[in-house]
Order: sequence, then structure tokens, then C-alpha cells
Amino acid sequence: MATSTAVSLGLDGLQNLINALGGRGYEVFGPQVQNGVIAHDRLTSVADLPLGWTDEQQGGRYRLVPREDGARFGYAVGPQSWKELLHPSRSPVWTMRRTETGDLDVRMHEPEPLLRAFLGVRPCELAAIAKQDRVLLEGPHPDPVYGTNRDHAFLIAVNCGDPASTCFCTSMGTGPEAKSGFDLALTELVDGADVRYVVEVGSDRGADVLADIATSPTSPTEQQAARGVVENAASRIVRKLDTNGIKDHLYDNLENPRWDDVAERCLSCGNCTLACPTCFCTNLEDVTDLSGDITDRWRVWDSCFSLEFSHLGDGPHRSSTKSRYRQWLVHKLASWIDQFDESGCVGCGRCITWCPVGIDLTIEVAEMRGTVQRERIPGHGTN
Amino acid sequence: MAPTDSKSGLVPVRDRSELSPLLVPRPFRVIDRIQELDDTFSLHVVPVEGELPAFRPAQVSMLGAFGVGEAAISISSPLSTRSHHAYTIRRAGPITRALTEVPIGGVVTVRGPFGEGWPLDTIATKNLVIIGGGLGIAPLRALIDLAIEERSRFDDLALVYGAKRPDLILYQGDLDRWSELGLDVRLTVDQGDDAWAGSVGLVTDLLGTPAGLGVDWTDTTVFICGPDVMMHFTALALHELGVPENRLWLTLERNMQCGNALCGHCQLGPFLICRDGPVVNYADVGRFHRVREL
Repeated sequence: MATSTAVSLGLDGLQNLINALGGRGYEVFGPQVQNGVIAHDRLTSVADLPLGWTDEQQGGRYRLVPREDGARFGYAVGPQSWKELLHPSRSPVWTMRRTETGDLDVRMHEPEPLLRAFLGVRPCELAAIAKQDRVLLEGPHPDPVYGTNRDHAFLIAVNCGDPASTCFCTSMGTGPEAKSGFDLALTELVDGADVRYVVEVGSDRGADVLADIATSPTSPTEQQAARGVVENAASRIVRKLDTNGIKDHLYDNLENPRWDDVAERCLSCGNCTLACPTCFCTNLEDVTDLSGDITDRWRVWDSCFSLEFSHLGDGPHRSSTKSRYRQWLVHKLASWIDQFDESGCVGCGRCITWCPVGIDLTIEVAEMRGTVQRERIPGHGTN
Repeated sequence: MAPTDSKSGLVPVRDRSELSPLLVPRPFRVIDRIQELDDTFSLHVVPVEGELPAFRPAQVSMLGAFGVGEAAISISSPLSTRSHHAYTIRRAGPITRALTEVPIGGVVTVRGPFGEGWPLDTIATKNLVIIGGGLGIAPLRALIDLAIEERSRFDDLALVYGAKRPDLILYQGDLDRWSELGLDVRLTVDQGDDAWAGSVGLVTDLLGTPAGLGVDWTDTTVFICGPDVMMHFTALALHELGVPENRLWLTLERNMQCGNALCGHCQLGPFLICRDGPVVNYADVGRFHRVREL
């Protein structure tokens, strides 16, 4: 929608927005400090937002650092994406009972429609949701759980003002400004202890909710300041991933010795797949009660780093760490393009930050291209 | 447009009330259970309710044993068999063990069938050679019957089948019947026994050798199903003999779970085997299939 519809809110206006969503039956989820990170949880007040904190990230390192101004969204991204709320880590699929006649009765679990609003969705996270839409909804067999959650989620994006050193959304074309896929998009304007939010409407639903509350038209100064926020953020994102011809490049390098080098560092822990906002793989698990007459099927997140993931009759197909890391990286950056017509990476940098040994996919790809430029990547360790 | 949500007064992103039917397991009754080998059984099954689903040779179903789990098994009965579907299962782990122990009258669950079958209709070559290794003959069984029905389309129609030992040759009755119907059947075993007078060696030893199959390889389509390593060397040997890569078709097995291209398990490079396979063209898959552990 055109930015001519943009309005602005103060902090009280943001509170009114949260209240308006609550009045329409939405549970609002937003950023807050929990366990030393900025996490997403239920939120009823702007007082819950992470005022006074920002994050510092590098390979294998994440720290909250105090900040003095009034920013409530003055951080990059926390370890969680919104994946857990849309594509839950554990969800029931069906229950099967053995009847008295020895037959089987199958009941599918109908996913429950939950009205949930996500406040503070980063542009890279919007892109990640669009990628999961493609995989889980736009194939021949849409996923009912994801579809139900997705249909009832109200997305309030917040443009990035403070990217981390691990961010590379500009390489992936996903940020730092939200372009589409949101109901409302905010840009936080910080002036000392004061904040205002420039609001852009992205959907009819967004317009309906915004009409519930009092807003002011955006002044030209505010519009210019909002542009400045994302331009400044873009200029601070220095990490690069060269995506030019990356699919063929990785396909041509499936036997590159660099994979052995990564395998010496990779712990095969799967943190990257948990933190990644697009990783969608799941496992089906059957759990039978003690009577032996009732079996529940659960769908749980899985990771291509586990040995069981590739299990065939004679054992795991990908038994080496090298082969599992290669599967993850080549899928994310190359074969995803063949499977779903786009890259599987949004450049959020979580896999770099949350890797316990700081493996950095942008470096691994650059090494394989022979174009690694260590001096341009701040905060990088031993690679 | 989707109706307005009664609670929020807002229009949902999309209207998507339909569940994905291929996630729902369907109970099938076992009407016959045939011991093929020491550890290999064929279950003949029919739906407890409703019709037998249509299938194409090489398509795979997720066959479920109550309380244990599901395994991907291809349908091995001919298309012309309207009374049941057959699944040939080797005991390899707890799920396949449980499946092979379901008695006649018992119930298994079926999801599917999934995937792409053999492209028999589109073959334009004079000859068709079908190559199976071990249990890989099972997904070929329905195809062979179909190819024999269309025998006149081909100058040469042959089956090369390799097993580890003579007592591990599956479907001996079918092999005899197929020979009588005009299929050139060539058998080989890795290791013979006192009674075995046939060929000893790999399937590749029967391709283009004086003792083996002599066809015009430059005008031949080949369908291959067997262990990965067998398909790897067979494809290389056939390419060497002059079969273009795009006339070689493999059927691939990877860990298959959802069958709906949602769970990510059955990947091989760009392929999601449940969606894009199990039958794939070697010109597309070769560069990935040749890489170990991909």
C-alpha cells in the first residue's frame, strides 16, 4: 500500500494498538528480555518491551548491552524467530485406536485457530515467514497446522535500526526495510528518551485495526527520519554473501576439501537448524499408551544434523559430519532454489551467532569461492 | 474471499479449511501373507472401507504398523490385479519386522501412493532393458507386467536381475512366467551354490559382454532399481556402452516420512524424492547421485 496512508503514533498510541488487538481477541506477542536474551512472549503493555537494551552478536557470541535512549526495538534479532508460533516444535497429527473388533479408528487433530499478533517482526523474519509459506502452504499438500496458525496471525513488522555484525539481509534482499507481507509496519524514531512510530499499512486487516485507534498524519520530517533509520541500518550492514550464481557454484563444489575443514569444527549439534527461521524439517513420532490400544502421532522439529535424519534400512545415509553440514548449507543456499524457486536463507545471521564454535556460512561460501575477505568482517574469530 | 473471523472481525489471510488428505492413514486389511524369502514377505491388502487407490508402477506408500510406525514400501502387484495391492517387505528394523508379522485378517495403515512412476508411455527407443538388484525387483514387478503387455513396442525387451545368492532370488514364479511371455530374463548371483548353473557376478557383467545381453545400446532405454552402489556402477557402465544419460532412469530411496514434501527428509540435492521421485532421470540426478553421502 502507498506510504501516503502512513500515520504516526507515540508510545501511548502503541499501547492503544496493543489494546485494540486485545479487544479483537488477539494475544499479542512481542520482544522482551528473558534469560539474558531478547525473546518473544505474550505482552500486554509497552512496559514489557526491552527498553534500555541492545544486542551485540558475532560468531558464537550474543550479549545484551545497556543503551541509554528510549528505543524499545533497538536490537537486531534474538535467538527465536516466529517459527515456533507458526510451525510449532511439537504438534499432534492424529490419534489411532484399536477397536474391540481389532480394527483401527483414526482421528485427525483439527488445528485450533488461535488469534495471535506478532509485534516486532523484522523484515528478514517476514521474508522467512514467506519462505515457510512457500514450503508448507504452496506445495501440493498444504500443512494444516501451519496454515491455521498463519491464517490467524496478525503481523506487525518493525523496520531494523540497529543491525548486528552477523546480519547480511542486504545480500539476501530481505531487509532492513519491510516491503511486503505485513499487516502493519512500524519504524521507530528515537529522539533521546522519546520515541514515535511511523506506521505503514500493508493489508485491509491492518487498516481495520489501525482505524480502531487515534493516530496523527505523518509529518514530512517524520517520513524523512523513518527513511533515515533504514538507510542508516543498511549502511551499517557490512557482512556480505555473494549470491551470484551460488547454486551452480555450490553444486560444482560438492567435493570441495573445505567441507572437511568445516567438519573438523562442526559439532553437529543442530543449533543452526533450531535458530534458523526457515528450517522446516520435521520428524513423525508415534507414541503408544501403556494399554497398547491408543497411538498418538506427533510431528516434531527435526534437524539434518542428526544421524537418524537420513536413516535407511542399513543405517544413516549421511554418517559423516561433513555430509550433514554440506546437506544443510547446500540445501539452504542452493537446492532450495531448485525445490522452491528461491533461496532458503534470509540473512538474519542466527546460524552464525548461535553456532557454539562460530561457524560462519558467509565465510565458508567465500572460502569455497576463493574470495574470502577477512578484514571486512568485524568481530570474526579464528576462521 | 474467506469469511470474516467472527471473533476478531478480520478477514483471515486465506481460507484453508481442508486438511491434507495424504497425511491421513487409511486402514487396510491383510488378506494374504506370502513368505517370499527367509526374511521377506508379501502382504496382500485391501482397504477396510472404500476402493483400492489407483497407482503407477514404482509409486511408494507409507505402510504403517499400529503402535510402531511407518515405512516406505512400493506397490509390487501388477496394475491388472484389481482385487488387492501387494507390498513386498524385508525385515530390516522394528517397523518392517512388525509389518511382516501382521497376520492374515490383521490391519495395517496406508498413506499414498506417492511420487512419480516409470515413464513407460514416453519411451521412444527400440529397446527396453530393465535392471533390478536384490529387493529392487519389487518396484519393477508391476512395470514388467505392463511392458510385457506392450511387448510389440520393442525389438528387445530384457530383464537383468542380480541377487546375492540363488536362495535370495525373489518372484521365481514370475520370472518363469515372464520368460514364457517373451521377456529375455538374465539372472546373476554374487555367490553361487552347488545347484546354481547360471551366471556368477555383478549385473554389470551381463551388460555388453559376450556372455551377456547384446542389444543396440544406442537405441535403448534402461530402468534401474537396486541398492545405490549397484545403480551407480550400472549407470556408469551403461553410459560407457553408449546409452545416453537421459535414457537411464533410476528409482531412488531416501528416508521418507511425510510423503507430502513437507518434512524435508527425502532430499537428494534438488530432489524431494516423495514429490520428484522415486523415479528420476539420470541426466538430472547423476551429478548428485555420484556424490557419496549427499
